[in-house]
Amino acid sequence: AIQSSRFSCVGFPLAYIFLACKKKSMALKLKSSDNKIFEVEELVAVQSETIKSLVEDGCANNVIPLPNVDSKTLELVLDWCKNHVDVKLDEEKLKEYEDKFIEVDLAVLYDLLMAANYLNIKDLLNRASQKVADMLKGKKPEQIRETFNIVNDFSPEEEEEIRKENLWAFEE
Amino acid sequence: MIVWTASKKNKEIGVYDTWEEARAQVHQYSGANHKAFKHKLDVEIAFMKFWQIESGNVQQGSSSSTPSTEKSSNTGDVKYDLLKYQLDFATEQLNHAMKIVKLNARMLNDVASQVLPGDELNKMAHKLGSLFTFMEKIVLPSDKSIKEDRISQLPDEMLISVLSFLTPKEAFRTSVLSYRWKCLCPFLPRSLDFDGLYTMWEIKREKKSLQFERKKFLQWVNDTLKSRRVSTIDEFRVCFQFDDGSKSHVDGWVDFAISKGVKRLELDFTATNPFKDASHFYRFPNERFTSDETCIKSLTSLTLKYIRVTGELLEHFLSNCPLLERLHVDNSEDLVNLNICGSSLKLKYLHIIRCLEFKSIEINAPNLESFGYVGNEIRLHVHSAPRLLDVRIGGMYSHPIYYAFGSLSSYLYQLESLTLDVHSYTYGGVEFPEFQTLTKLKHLKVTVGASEGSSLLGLIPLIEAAPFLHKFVFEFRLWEMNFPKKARKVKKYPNEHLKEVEIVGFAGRAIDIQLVVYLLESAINLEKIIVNLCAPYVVGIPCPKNIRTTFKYKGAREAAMRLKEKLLTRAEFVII
Repeated sequence: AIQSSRFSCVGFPLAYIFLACKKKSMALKLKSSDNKIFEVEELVAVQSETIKSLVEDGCANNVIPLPNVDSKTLELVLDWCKNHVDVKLDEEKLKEYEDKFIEVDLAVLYDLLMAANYLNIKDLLNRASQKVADMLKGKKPEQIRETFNIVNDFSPEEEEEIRKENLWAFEE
Repeated sequence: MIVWTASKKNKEIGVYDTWEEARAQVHQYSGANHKAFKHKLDVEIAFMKFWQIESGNVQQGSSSSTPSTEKSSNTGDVKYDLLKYQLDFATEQLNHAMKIVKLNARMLNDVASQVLPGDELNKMAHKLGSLFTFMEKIVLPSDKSIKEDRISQLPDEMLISVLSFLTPKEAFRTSVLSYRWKCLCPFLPRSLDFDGLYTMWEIKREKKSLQFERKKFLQWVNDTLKSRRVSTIDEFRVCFQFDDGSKSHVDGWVDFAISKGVKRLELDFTATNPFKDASHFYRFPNERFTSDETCIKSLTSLTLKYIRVTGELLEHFLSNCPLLERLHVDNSEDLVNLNICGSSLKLKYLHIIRCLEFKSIEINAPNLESFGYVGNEIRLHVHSAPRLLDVRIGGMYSHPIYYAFGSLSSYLYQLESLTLDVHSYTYGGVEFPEFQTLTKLKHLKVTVGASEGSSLLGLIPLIEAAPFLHKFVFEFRLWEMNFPKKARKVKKYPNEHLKEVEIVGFAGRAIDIQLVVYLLESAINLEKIIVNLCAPYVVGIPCPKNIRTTFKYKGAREAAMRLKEKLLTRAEFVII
């Protein structure tokens, strides 16, 4: 009986704190570059360091404009964030999700990279960077140029010179 | 220098060619003095002005020529021709201008990294920048069919972070993609790898002289180090037989590596003759590291082979290099005692191989995952190694290895991979004591040197102690000594988990056929067996295929073929 009365005593402030917390983790409104509004839980959104600092500075009461991210990309990014809120999530499942998530075409990958950089989401930035690195791996320069549409602006002599200067990297 | 006068005569082209000439000179001067660059820039500015005037002239010129053509022929056609002519001309000029602007931007980029950019330079850069965007807007619409290269537009730091997922070599290779990528070079991790393994192999076979090749090698390393003006190096590796005679050079390399904040340092001075007098081995410069200031803080991996290094120095490294994860010491006679201890030790990999004077080691390493020891019997005390997964134990000649299992007994059950080097001259062949069950063991590799008359079936208790074994590699060195043969029978327990078996150095004699037959019959779910006829010591060494064939036992292939035909297993049977 003593225990239960003690519990009821602290019950009120506990509930109050709980409510306050709930109020604090209210939805944030994010506006993409093409003026679409996304409502997301604060917990999800603050994985972006950029948004987090806005929230901490109290600048997140109204709609947060994200002029560098379009709605298509933002949707993807938020999906990533939602799946990374629960840290305790099964590691294998998370990896599976990440691998599937990053299987996108180049244009989307660039958008994700830029968005992750702008929003400062470390794990997404790393995963996207790694994906690009995987595409560079084990390819000849010509193949890389073709994959990424890179225009070779060296003359053959210049290219040869670079190879000569850095023999250590170009030797088999 | 003012090459543009020539182009005045030829109104249309000539610009590009002369620039080529000028650029060749720029290349000569690049990185040289300030004056030469300034002068070049002056020429550039002069040309920019010339181009403005010239394009003005052309417009005037073409408008003045309009009346004359109008008189002689159809007005509409002429107008069209004229417009087309003007358009073509303008496009051409713009293209030239684009090239010039691009090249100028390049040059400014070069200059900025070498010379302090003065106000003039900034202004110029600004001008060129705005001109460039202007040109881009005009010219690009016609080039819309060209796919966009967005990766090169990523900011430097993002591209660098992408490249950080590659090996230094792979990352550096991107420098030939385009000028944009070359600009990232100064920020990429470097590695300097002087690999003389193949040359060493040829020296061993007496195709080349060690003295001569060593001189050449020294020259190569020294020249490269001299020409390399970089601030940091991630990896420094030298593989060649050097001894104390080259001490002054090698000391210089070590200094170089330290001064560049090296992370992975490997000096592999493996001698062609393993019985060479160890007193001539290169002595690692202790004095450089005894004071804390010179210690290599950035070091993550240290590999020293055939180099005299003391236990005190290794301990000094361990306590002063907070990032050190990997330590490999091979053939150091100066190494006697080693005490690995510290709760903050990052050390994951510790291998001490064939150090003849080694007496004792104490291990207290919270992060140690891989431990290897090959040599005489020592006092081995493992106080704590909670993460140990991989163990290699080996004896030299006929030294026993079983003592090590006593010290490691509390960690054996957690091992995932085990490598044993057993040398046996004894009549009875290889014998293993009763093992406790190795429930986590997935990979087992055993290297055995045994004579023909002995038996390998002593290995069976070891294989059977690991019920979940996935891959078994057996390296065999046959000592051709005649002991009387002795038949032995073994009970066979089926092993359900063994999927892969690899036999290296298959001799095709009774001694190893017996073992292979045992494996084929007991591993009921075997998927693949590889029988490699090459001797273990040539596998993995870069040498031509035709040489490898000479390191095979006579009749080994035939014996392997016969085994294959007997169809003892459903597994894939590969003979190399």
